[in-house]
Amino acid sequence: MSPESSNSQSRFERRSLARLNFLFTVLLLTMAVLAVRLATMVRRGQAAAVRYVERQQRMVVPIPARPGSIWAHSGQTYRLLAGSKQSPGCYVDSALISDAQLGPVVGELAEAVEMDPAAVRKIIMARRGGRFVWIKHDLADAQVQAVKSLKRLAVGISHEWRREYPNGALAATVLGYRRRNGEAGGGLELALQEHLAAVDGREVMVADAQRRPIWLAAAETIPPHDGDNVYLTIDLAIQSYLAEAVAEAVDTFEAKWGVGVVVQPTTGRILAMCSAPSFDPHRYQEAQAAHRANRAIGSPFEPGSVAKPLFAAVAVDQGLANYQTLIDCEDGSYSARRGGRITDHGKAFGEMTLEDVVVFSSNIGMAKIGERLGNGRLHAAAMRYGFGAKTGIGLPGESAGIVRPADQWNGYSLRRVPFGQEISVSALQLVMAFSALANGGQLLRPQLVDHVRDASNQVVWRSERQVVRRVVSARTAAQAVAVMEQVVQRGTGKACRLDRWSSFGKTGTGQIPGPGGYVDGAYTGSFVGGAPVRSPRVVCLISVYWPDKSKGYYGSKVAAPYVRKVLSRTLAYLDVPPDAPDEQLARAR
Amino acid sequence: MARMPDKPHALPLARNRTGRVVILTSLSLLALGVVMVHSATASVVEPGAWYARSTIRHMIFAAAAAMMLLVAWRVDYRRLIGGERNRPVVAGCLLALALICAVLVFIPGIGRSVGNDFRWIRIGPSQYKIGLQPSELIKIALPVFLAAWLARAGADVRSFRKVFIPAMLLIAVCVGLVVTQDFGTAAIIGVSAVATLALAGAPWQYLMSLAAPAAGAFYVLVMRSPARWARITAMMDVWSTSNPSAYQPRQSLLAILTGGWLGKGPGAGTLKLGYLPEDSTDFIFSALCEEWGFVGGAALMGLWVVWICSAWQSALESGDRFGRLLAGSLGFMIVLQAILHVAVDTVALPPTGISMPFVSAGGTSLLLTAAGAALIVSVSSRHNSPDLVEKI
Repeated sequence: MSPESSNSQSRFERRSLARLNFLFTVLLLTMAVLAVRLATMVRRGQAAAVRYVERQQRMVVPIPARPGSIWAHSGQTYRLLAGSKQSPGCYVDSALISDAQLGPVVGELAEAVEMDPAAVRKIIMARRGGRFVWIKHDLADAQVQAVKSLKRLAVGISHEWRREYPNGALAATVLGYRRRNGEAGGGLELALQEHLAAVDGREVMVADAQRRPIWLAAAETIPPHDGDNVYLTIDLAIQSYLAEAVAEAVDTFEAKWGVGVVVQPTTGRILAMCSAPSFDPHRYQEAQAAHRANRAIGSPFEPGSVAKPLFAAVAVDQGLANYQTLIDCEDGSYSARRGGRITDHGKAFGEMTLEDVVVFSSNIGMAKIGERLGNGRLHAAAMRYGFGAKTGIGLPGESAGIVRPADQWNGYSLRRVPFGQEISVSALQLVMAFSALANGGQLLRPQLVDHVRDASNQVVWRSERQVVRRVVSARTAAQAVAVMEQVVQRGTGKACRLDRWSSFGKTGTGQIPGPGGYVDGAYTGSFVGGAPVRSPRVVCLISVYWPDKSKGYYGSKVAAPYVRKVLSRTLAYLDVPPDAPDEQLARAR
Repeated sequence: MARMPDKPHALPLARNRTGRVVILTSLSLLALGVVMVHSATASVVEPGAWYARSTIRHMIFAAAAAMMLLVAWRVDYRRLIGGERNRPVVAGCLLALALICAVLVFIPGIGRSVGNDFRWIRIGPSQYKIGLQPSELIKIALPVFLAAWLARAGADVRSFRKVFIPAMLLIAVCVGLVVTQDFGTAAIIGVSAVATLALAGAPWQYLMSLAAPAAGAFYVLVMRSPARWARITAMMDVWSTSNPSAYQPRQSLLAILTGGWLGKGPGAGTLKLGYLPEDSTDFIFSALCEEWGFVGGAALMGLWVVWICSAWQSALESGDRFGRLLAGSLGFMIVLQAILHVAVDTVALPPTGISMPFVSAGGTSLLLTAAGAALIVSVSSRHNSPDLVEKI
């Protein structure tokens, strides 16, 4: 081995060692660079990544909460007026359907839910990639089974709440309706939203990439909160009596519409309220908007003679007259200075008592009462009866009616408001004013909701009798009721005489104002009546708006017989002891 | 000068600090791998016999790899070049076997595809078939053979015609057999073979001349392949939802980012629930970072640093050329794989399936890496024995 060779050998060795050191240094440096890279990645922050990952692996399943139900009285118990039930529907998670699978999935699905495949395909393509696409609502049981038996991960069944109204159109204008998405569309459904509304819960799960739930994120899971159940003062039986009567009146006299209200005068509880024509809340889309309106609160009209006992009572209460005061009725035609001409619709009354003015419904007599009261007291009286202000029943679309400000009242108003012209009132306002006379002079706030129970059946709200104000003294109120009994006994309201109970009431035939004065031949025939006289249990008003004049339009004809029907059926239903003189005689025998 | 003993004396581990460190770090990596593979596959429901479950299989292979580490180093690495006769017969047979297997992969009935790639051969009756990845075998056999061939007596490493050209042809065959099926592994095989040449002392200009063909290969294999090019662009913009190749690096990045500094806790990772793909093999580093955080990732890299240093040390300490070349090449190859794995998982390189040595699931890889590490220990345990080359 030569020294040169050895020398070159060692040089070769040194170079080899240098390369070894170089390569391993590079490896170490690379490792260090990667460690630094890892640190900078982590340091850059993780908030966005955490959000991304949560969105990626979180599976949120809504738990629908049941909206509250609405119940009506029925004797001693309650019956369902509006309730929600779960209805199955079919959806797809279209992100789980590959383009290649789309055809088969659409075909199978269309067969299962009995739809046109093209329609199913169109729905999916419209929201391609959507994680929750409704295919069909309200499936039949067989269709649900068919969908489940497809066993496809991308296709599922979900349930929604559907509103049901077991009594159909009954009290529909009071109840309102709900749209397909559960949104309230008027009436009590809207007014009680705060009680009825359910707060959906949700279940949050961590899912794997195949969307299989792995575990429950309990902290983020919210239990569903069902809506409260609302129990109404409305009685199903009385409501049906009233609805039948009003519908019959409207049909018979071909009226534009009719309304009716039955109220318990001592408490202000509304036992029935209806307006005709009505609608079926299941098919609200097909109904005219006007038919969905609750006209008993939303359509004021001029009451006409129905107002007479109200203002007569005020005059008596204030000592300006008593029911035996003689009033000159001018033989049927009265023209006061700056007051226009007033007639007694073809009748010629001479001098008669205030009682008879009400009993025989003399306009001239009431004009004279207006003169005694004066505009100031007259206006105050109208306001005290609650006219021109909302009753506070709490339903949407309530009208305050029209009572013009006192300073706009003139000689015409003075002589016409007392017999129900120049003011407009809603049926509810009118019936509450009469209830004030019937209950001894107190105007009450109408009650429609008796009590509210939450999902655990605890009462969370209960109605109380609320006195708005005293309108007349108890004595005057009693006298007014006695006078109105005479209306039924010997006056314009004979059509409302009951067989077994004493009753009181007042007719009214209001004219309908149009542009430039009253519309010819357009009237609102009303009757408000109550029974029994000594302690009235119910007061009922029926108004028939714009009946065909040739068939009849007087309140005594278009409304009184129907009020009679409602009253007699209601009193029998409520088991009120008969108190008519004949009945007492019969019982004595 | 004393004659070389017939039975070379092996230093026991107690006196072989470098070998001890190689074995201990390798065992640590294996243990970490067992934990991480269990965690990553925890959500996967596997039907079948208990021994067929991937966690159990991994444990069996890890145990076998540990045995390999603890036992195989006693085999004298010099047997690979045929002892005194100094002919790389054993190493040559090994490489030949590897190449035959690599060809068998393409024969229907024996080769088994994963996805569209043929990477496996399966031997044996249907129920107890043993899977084998020939590319793993080549990965070990090629550096071993090259080291033996270049360190043999009379080899003129500086000869272009006698050494460089044949070596290049051999490397091209090996890489060519693998590259169509597994780009990442082929890259590792190619780069580590060139590193072996460099360590052996091949002139720089020869090695530099490889730059042009490498660039050409890159152009043909990567830029002209839409699938591979999509992976490159995916690395640039991992949040792109229009590029499906971005999914893997995105999930890997999410795993590392949500892990943060301290991690979600062992077993508490959620991206392993089917979101992070190949979480027990190609993305096990990300899975580890999610559960153990930066701290865990840095600890793993620290283990690798120790491993690198001890492999380096055993190469430096080796008294003979073959030992140095063998330990250097094998060490380089194993570390290169680990580095590429971490680089892919930290989205510094486009996603290409590279498992982490000792840690990732995969029987062939575990056993052969352990065999490689055992060879390094074998080199370190004989560093003060008489040098073959000097004796001749």
